[in-house]
Amino acid sequence: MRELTYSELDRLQARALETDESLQMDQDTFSGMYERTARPLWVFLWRRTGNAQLADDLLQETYYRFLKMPNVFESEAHRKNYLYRIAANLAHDNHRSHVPQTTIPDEREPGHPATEACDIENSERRADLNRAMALLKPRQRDALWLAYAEGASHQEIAMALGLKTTSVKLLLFRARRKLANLLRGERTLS
Amino acid sequence: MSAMECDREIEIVEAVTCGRWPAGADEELQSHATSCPVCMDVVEVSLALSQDRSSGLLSAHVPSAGLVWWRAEMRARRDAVQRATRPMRIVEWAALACMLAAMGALLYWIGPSGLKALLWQPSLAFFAGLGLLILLSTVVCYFVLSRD
Repeated sequence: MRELTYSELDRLQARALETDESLQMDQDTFSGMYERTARPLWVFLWRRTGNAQLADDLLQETYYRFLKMPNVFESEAHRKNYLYRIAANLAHDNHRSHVPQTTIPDEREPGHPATEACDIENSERRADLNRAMALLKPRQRDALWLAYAEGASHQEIAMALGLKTTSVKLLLFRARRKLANLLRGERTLS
Repeated sequence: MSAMECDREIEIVEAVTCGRWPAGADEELQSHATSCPVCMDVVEVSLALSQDRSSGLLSAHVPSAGLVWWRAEMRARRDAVQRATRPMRIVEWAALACMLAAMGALLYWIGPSGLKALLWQPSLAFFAGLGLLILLSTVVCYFVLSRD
């Protein structure tokens, strides 16, 4: 295969720089934002995909797309909502294009990030939650996570999931009732 | 139809996500949560999800900011180079298509009988032309295929 020569590469890179390919923030700003958002975003993606490796890949892709966006963000919350919107869309696309892996691996199995950090009670509670969450629709899971794990408002969830605020209220109501009933059922059974 | 939301839902979610539930929460709020069907569900769900989030955060291993930045920069550069070379690739593929069309047209114009006659009675001009065409098509193929 023919490689590019140095002169060709210089010429192309100069042209590439002219075409506004730069990332939307500098490295220091990015590092600060990444430290604040990466871990919760990774947990969201992991919870959504059920696969730690896939969550890593989607995390990288989320930040890349975010950095390429020409948007001007009004606040930290606006930025965060956008990040979750990209992540939710990526997870949704992945869910549609691949066989969905909605079941989070058991904590004793490899691939579960919390293998060492949990006691038996936590482990059982988590298993109950996994089973119950697997019975919800992806959009319901996203909305519940953002509302009750991230503490996002209805407006923030609407922005992150690309929905109307009134739709979020109904979506949350149905999803919350379903999950609460499932969790109570799981506890009764166990 | 039962109520879809309760005014005190936000207070409960805030208490749970801040780790102030049940210990640390207002007693009046706690008694409300035992009587309001919406808040009962809110407590159930937000406790389960926020505990799951906390244990997930404790054990999440994310790549460093520097690594994510470096990968993003590399990818942005690669995308930019690909975008910059797109016109060149189009021209190269067009040249290849023209070359193939020219060869096809030449063979059609000569025809099988003409080709047989030329092979039996070799002409310098014909072979020079054919050689040039083969040389040019090889060069074009090299440029087009080497990039892909």
